[in-house]
Amino acid sequence: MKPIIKGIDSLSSIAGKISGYLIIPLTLVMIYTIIMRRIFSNSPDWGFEVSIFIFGISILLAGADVLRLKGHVAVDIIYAHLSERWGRIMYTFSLLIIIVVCSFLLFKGMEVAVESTRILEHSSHQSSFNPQIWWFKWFIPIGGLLLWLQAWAEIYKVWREGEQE
Amino acid sequence: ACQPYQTIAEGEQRVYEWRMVTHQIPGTARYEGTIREFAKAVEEISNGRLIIEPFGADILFPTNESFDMVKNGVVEIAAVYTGFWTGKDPVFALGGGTIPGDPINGFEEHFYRSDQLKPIIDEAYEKHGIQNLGAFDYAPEEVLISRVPIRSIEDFRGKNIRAAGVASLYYSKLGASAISLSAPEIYTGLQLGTVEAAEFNDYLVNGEMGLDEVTKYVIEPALHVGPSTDKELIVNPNAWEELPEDLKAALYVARDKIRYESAIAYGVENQKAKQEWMENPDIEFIQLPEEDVEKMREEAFELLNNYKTKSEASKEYVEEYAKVLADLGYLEEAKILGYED
Amino acid sequence: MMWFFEYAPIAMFVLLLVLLFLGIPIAFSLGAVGVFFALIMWGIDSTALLPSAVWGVMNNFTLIAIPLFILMSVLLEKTNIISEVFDSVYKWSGGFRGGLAIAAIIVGAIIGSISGVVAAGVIGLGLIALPQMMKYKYNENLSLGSIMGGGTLGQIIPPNLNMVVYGAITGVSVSSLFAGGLSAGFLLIFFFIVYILIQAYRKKDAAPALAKEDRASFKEKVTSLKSITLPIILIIIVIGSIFTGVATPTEGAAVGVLGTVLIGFGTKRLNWNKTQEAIKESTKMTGMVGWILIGAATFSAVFSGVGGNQLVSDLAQAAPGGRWGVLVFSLLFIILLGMFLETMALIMLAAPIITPIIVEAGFDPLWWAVLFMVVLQMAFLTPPFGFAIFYLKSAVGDKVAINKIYRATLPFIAIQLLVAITLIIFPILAVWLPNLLNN
Ligand code: NA
Ligand code: NA
Repeated sequence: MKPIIKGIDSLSSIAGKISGYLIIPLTLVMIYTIIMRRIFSNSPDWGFEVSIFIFGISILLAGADVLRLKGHVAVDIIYAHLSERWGRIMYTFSLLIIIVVCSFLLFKGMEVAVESTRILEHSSHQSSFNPQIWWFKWFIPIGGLLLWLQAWAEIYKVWREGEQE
Repeated sequence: ACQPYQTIAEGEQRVYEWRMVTHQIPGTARYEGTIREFAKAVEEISNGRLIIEPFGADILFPTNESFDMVKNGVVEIAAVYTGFWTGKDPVFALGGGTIPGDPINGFEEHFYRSDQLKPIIDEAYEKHGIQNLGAFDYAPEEVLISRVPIRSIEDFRGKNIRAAGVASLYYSKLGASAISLSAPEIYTGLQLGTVEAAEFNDYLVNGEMGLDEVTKYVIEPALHVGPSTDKELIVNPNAWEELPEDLKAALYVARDKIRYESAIAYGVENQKAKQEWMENPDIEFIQLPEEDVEKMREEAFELLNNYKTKSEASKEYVEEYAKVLADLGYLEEAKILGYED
Repeated sequence: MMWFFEYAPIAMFVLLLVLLFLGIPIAFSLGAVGVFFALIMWGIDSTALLPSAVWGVMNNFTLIAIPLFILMSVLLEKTNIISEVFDSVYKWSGGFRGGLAIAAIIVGAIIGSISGVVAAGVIGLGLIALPQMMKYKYNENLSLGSIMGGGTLGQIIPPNLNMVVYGAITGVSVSSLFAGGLSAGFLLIFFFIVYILIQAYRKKDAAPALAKEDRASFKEKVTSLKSITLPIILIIIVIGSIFTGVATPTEGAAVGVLGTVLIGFGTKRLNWNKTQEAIKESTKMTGMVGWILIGAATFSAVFSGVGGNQLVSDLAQAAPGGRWGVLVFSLLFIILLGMFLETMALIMLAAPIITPIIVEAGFDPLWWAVLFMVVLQMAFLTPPFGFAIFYLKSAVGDKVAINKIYRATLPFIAIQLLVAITLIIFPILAVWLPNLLNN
């Protein structure tokens, strides 16, 4: 079991790193767009959509690592009033809720992505760039899957490693 | 209040409850005057057997998701501009009659065109499992407003122009930079010089947004789009099949009522609004020279001819549109698009 | 079963509160309630609303400002600029009664105007200003309160994330909203300072002046001003690029990141290691916010679908007192939600419901947006879920009991309410700056 949990942890962590470093190209693309528009009156037609892609991927990839780092804000006043055992049970319940939500995200997101891929969907923003966006939709189920896996890993940790908030 | 028990005989008085989405915002003329009126008309005509509950822009889901949501039945009906689903098929960029270089005038010509081209759009929707009920309400031609004078086709080069949809393709083709500003940023964008010019809507709607306050020039004619349809009606096919024939007819009757009323309301109100803009001493109307307009129309039609290669449906659409132009007496323009008598 | 459908909107809120109280992360409490109600009301196909909510968040250009403003504020923290600014402000004000508390407010405003993140303001002040006030035996209630009042100013003073999200949802111009926030921010600062002075001069020991020997010399005061130049440059770069139209509000965030990096590296306050740390920390916050937006979008889609918007709207119309009744109802609605919800989720939920009602009642959308933001700042302080309270608690650890922090919020909640009322009586105080900008 251990190597699987380690694997999930590092998968989330890698996704989180990618998500983080994407901010560098995001900043550069936006600055480049401003400069080209203001100084050269020739803003790139891809600036708008590329920024959207980077942002969207970044949000979806970050979710699982945020869970691993216990960064999803919760109002955890209840834990102060619970015994350790009940604390674990409550935290597990929390994670099960995440798993349920992410199952829908995974399966419904997959349906959406498959349909989009079938018709090789293009952007609906209608810039002259007009990129294909079906691949971008795949980040919905991917984001769901990463979180789903990480939530299971966290449940394992709660009961087997004594790790708990 | 819902009735807990079905007291009426089976199959006789079933009440159908539909949810409807649109890209317009509650409180605006384009919502109150069409969406609400439509729901009311349907309820009256059907004697309360078809109840439509409308939802404004982005309230249930992002507008460009309406396509998939009608398809999978989350909502039964939508009245949305087809340009939101150009990603599904390029023909939808033109589907609402938003055609660059369009020479036609007024709502009678526009609705004639819509009905002639409807079978093509029907088929495009059908391919994705959606039932099309055709053009819903009328949108007068849009305007191009500017902070700087644009007096010739050359003046477009290097300008930053706020544009969306086909218009952004068109202005890019003229050598401008098409900038995607969201609607609420257009005012400050023009004010602060983020963009030099902008297309958004007609005189009436632009005026409602206060854009006349930040406009110094109106460039006529605005060739990026002619008169068009603000929204097209689409329906979930299962919901449609379930309806008895008389309720299907009720939807068409209510649609036609909206077509007629919007044509009067927006067509005329837009004319009145234009008068106000023209009387505004801070706004100069620039008429582009005839030969430049000709050139610009050619550029636009080149863009349109390109659509023939984009998909089977868009090819058919442009060809059929050329026929419509010929029908309406725009023979020269029709020929540029490949029409032969 | 019929009754259930009638009361679905209320049931949604009840279930949401239960999940929140059970400590389920906010993002997933919202998402789970949304999915659950979609499923039982409309069947499995309608759960497609979930990926559609995600898609909406992924494709919203305005929201791109979020990761950028967050990164900017974390980077800034790494440069140590904040503690130097406090140092300078407190050298100037330490000689007066209440000086340290006023310094907390002013520094809160400065942090607020270079970053869009409230957590940064409250935690920063909690770590830097609180120990000073403790040292000089300031009244604890006043100290904790000024930190939360000052630390949450970033919520109203531009740039800020909440305004970005509000603009993205309601269609109010973000640049105009920024300008309105600046006007309202001045008003809040003024009221906070007046309150602190009243407290300090009414009770001799509430907020004593520094002892003579602890006061900075004039020369020290002047040299300390050096530390303010960097933040001022940053403020000018970010706000300037937006208010002059060089950049849209979203792009202004990117300008801010670049500006912070250039200044940080230029003055050797930043290096690659610190930048990496900053990216790591900000990703955690961005991911958290992004998923709250996703959850809130799902919840509010289903909530409006089951008639929640209609219900709220009907209740507002039924309020006595015509348009003013509608206004009071709307404010109470937000204040009530603010007691339980995180602000980003609150905007996603309440703004699309309330704003059309208010506009229909004939109120100016921009003025309302500013008022909304002031009330939203209260949400950071109002019990039981006041996020400024939690941020401050996380900064002070076991040194201060949480019930003391709760109590300290009360006068500041009252001041915020007073400012909201002032803005209602004198609307011009909210919109004079945007009007100026647009003329
Ligand atoms: Na701020
Ligand atoms: Na609160």
